[in-house]
Amino acid sequence: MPQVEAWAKVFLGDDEFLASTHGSVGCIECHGGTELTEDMDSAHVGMTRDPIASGACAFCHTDTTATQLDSLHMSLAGYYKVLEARSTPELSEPLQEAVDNHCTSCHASCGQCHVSVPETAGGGLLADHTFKEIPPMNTTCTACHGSRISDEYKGKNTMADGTALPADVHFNPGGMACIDCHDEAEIHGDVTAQNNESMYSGEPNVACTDCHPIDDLLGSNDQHTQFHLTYLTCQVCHSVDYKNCYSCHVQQNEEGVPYYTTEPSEMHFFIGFNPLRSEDRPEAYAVLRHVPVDPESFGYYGEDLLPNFDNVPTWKFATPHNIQTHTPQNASCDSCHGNADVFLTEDKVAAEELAANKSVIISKIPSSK
Amino acid sequence: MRKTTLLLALGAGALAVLLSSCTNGGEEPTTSTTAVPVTSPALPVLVSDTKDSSNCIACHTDQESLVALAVEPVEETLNEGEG
Repeated sequence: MPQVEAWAKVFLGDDEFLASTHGSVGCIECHGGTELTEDMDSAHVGMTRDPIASGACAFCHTDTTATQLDSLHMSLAGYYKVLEARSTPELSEPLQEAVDNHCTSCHASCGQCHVSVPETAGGGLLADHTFKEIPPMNTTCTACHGSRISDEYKGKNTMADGTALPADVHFNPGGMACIDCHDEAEIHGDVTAQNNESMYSGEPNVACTDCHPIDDLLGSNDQHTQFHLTYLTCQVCHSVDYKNCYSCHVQQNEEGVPYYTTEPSEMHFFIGFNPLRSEDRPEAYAVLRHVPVDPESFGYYGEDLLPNFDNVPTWKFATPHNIQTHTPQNASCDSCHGNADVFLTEDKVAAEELAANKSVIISKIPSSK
Repeated sequence: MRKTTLLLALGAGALAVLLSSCTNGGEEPTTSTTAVPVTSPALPVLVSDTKDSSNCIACHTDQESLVALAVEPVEETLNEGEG
């Protein structure tokens, strides 16, 4: 994200915003603060930079704000779900402290997308406080979802040997923005309660088959067989190497400033057993991405805060945003069948994580054709 | 004949009364206004306790003042690695 000077972040610009419906409401109605004073400090007493949806926005946008509070963008429910699975209720207090210090800054309120650049990405008004019905992708969506999604989607990743990886075909040449697949209902949490539990809970919010119906795919080439289309996620054949992250540790410095450290990310492509196999996601094989969790990720806040670490795989169901028509693994039958390099086998998993990943590790490579 | 004359006289009288009421005593007709403001229930309007934001707007549209007053945050990134 480009650096924006402090004054520009709060500059209302010309009359466009003030002449708009939102501009006619008045600053204090949404932001609070103190009227009738010319002293800057006094004027800002009681002011909030980021009004909460239930107050400022709900007055008019009743339906949207009603669901937004339950959306993953606001609740971060997915983090809590996996922490609960790896920990115990008795350890919730120190874990909550860690979450409060390191994770909750990623909340996305209404204004963090529709008015400003998200605070975690530097903040500052998007366009002189003019409300953007569809937030600009580069300064909102991928400003937060940057290291993995943005780099994959826009073709900014390189392999260890320097080979550049191509952009997702939906971005180039497709020219599609995030909103073209991830619609308003998904982003605002206006979906089923199950979908609001975590990113991949319940029926997929977005499916490739929404645009590419199975009936059109079936038999369209030699590899689009009924078996492949039933038992493989689309990414198994159409994704390429993506970023995997390791060993995130959170802590605070002497002044109490929270920070994290992670090991350098690695580019890999691995197929494993689908850890989320269900009626909603019936495929047997899926692409797996290593997430940066470590048994001692929260060690600064207490000893052994993730005693049930092995309850959840560290190689997770993934939908890399780097889709290609032609990929190394779909070049021929033998590119995948009999090729252990593309599968998550035991030798590719750290010894201390074997137990956590036993349900997703491939022990028998699909045979050569 | 007498009966017809009587009916015509009564009709003329009624017409005169009707025209008289329409001309409002000979003054020019004016457009009537309703005393009750009409607002659409679908478009709520914030008017009840709007605070005076003129000072906020005056400052936040004055680039020169903002440049002089805004304080650049101290960027101290302790994080190591990709987030």
